[in-house]
Amino acid sequence: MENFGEKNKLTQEQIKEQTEKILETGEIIYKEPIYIGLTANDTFYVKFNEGKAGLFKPKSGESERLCRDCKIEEGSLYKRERAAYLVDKALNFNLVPPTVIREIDGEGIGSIQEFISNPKMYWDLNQDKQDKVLSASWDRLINLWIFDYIIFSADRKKNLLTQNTTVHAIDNGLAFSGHTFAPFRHFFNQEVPQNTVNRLKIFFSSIDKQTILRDLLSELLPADEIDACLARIRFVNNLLDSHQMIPENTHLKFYPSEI
Amino acid sequence: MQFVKIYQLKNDGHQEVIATCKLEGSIVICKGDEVLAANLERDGITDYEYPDKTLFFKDGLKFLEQLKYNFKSGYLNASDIIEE
Repeated sequence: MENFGEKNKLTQEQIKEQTEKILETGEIIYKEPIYIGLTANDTFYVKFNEGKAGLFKPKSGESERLCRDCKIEEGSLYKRERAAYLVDKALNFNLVPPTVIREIDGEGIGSIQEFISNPKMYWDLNQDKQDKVLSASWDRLINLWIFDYIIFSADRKKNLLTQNTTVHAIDNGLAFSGHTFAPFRHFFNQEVPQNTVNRLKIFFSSIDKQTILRDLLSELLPADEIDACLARIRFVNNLLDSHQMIPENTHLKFYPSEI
Repeated sequence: MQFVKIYQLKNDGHQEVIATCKLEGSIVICKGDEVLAANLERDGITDYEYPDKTLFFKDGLKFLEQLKYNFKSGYLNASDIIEE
């Protein structure tokens, strides 16, 4: 007897593609602003006819002061959100919820990211629950540290979304510029999961994958930021190839020198 | 009186004020969600102008000003300073 369940089971890649399509072109049936003008980045909660929900951050609602303070080109945060997702997808880390760019009537262009249900920000977890997240998501948090270095996130720290004990990398607008690297925490001298090492190796050994990523990022970021990002991937890959960890004395620079 | 509201986004898209941080004299007091308030008091928040610097309740108005940059994910959002 055929196992229809197995036959119809979508791969993670296919699920992401489907979600991206809904975010990009799905019919929006509900849209609610999250206190426009009173926060640092205007955001809308949107619901789609296809059953998904998302968070839309319009270009027009980006804080000029935040961009100035973080030395990031004004009006580019929504592009950086999408760029972070593309890097995550290329490296197969599965940390960033699907994120696309879309224009919404009346609101202009911006990024839409899939809404994670039953969310809890790390800020809102007591010490016991924070310890549980750390313990249950240890490998994932190491991946997040590496990912945040690759995108040079200036904004992680406690900006971590949890769903039960799984962490998700949301809010990636302040990334790719050289302003500062602000991870959740460091994991020097901690063994990096073998599948992470393998994923980086797969990416680094494929000229096609690197070219595709570069081409996609070229629509979103300046060339020097793309070069630096790819240099960081190369740097991390080389380090992990030798050590399977990032040693304590490693200087995590915006544009790393070759090792 | 100067204060900031912190909103939490629920699954159905509605928001709830879960904490309010007020300037009392020269320091900040946060009330509401006890866990969030305790974490803010213990760990402080980032000063986005000087990212190596952490701001605490004792930093008063500067702490209030920077709350909205620290909470902008959509899931937890902080308002601008409200004056009443």
